[in-house]
Amino acid sequence: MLTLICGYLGLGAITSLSMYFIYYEPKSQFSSAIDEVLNGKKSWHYKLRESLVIPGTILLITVVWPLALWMVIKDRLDKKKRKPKKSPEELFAVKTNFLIEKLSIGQVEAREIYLDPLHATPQIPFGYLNSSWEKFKLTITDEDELWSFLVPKGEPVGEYEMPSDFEMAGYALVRDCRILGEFVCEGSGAY
Amino acid sequence: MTAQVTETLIYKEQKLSMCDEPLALWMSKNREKCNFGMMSTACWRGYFGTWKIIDDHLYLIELSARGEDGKNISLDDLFPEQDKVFAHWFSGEVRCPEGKLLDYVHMGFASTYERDIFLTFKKGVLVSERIQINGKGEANSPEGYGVGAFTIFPLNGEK
Repeated sequence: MLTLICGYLGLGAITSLSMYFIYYEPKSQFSSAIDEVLNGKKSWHYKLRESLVIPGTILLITVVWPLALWMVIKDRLDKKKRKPKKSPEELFAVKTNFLIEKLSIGQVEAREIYLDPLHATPQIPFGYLNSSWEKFKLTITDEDELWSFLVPKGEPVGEYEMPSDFEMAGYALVRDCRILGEFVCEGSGAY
Repeated sequence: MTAQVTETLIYKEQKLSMCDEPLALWMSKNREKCNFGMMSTACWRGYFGTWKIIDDHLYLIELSARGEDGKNISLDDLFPEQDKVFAHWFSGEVRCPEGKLLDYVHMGFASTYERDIFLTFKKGVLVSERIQINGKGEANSPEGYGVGAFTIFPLNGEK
């Protein structure tokens, strides 16, 4: 019986220490500073309780390790169920209903040269965004179409489909009616 | 999130506090040039920019940031040999609050002031402006945009 208990606790200790090394992330200087701003200076008993959290958790997992393992496995399975991996196409802000006009590369480049009263902006397509445009252009093949687009404010964008807080415009790369790339050149926020 | 310091906008010879970040889109396309170290919780974006409207065009005329290595970064580091950068990528509205503080919110640019000047740009060109009156501040309310409290972070290598 004693051997069984020792074996069980031994496996528990291995599980809890493995979990500690896999999941524990020490608090960065940055998050400590944020914590102090939000919650102020900590009292000694708060610090004492905080310092007991990790050893207490290790001890608890050592005792109930099958439950802890089951929770980790369940969490991973749930995450997989909840978040079916999105295709790159779904991650683009532009959807086919936001496409406006089909244009050639030459037409796009001609309309994206900007008038600058101080004559400082490079007179090349997309001005200060030219290097990004050139990179985007490399992905365009002969079979592709270029379409201008306008994504209205409030449309869900990105992996988490958060509503965009600004309108954005640019050019989309379309092949066989599917959007394969987007170049946002106009907006009021980061994208 | 702490209240954020604003960008500065010079318009009609007046210095305004601008609660928007017109450089954001350019930065998102040039991340390799923008390794800014965060200096303070009041400036998550990591830089301070000064903007000016010249002939109805929005220009970035000054920039101050510090790299993660502690080195000062200026406009010339991001846009070599340019002293005025036309923000042709910027389309949208900027808000410039003015007057006395009505309601302080310690988050982002959420505080409200007596007046808001809204300027709308299309591809960096000013297309409209409007003023919104939000109310009348109390006599002892602070005048002009301000941030209540923030933490300053040491950069790598700094003690």
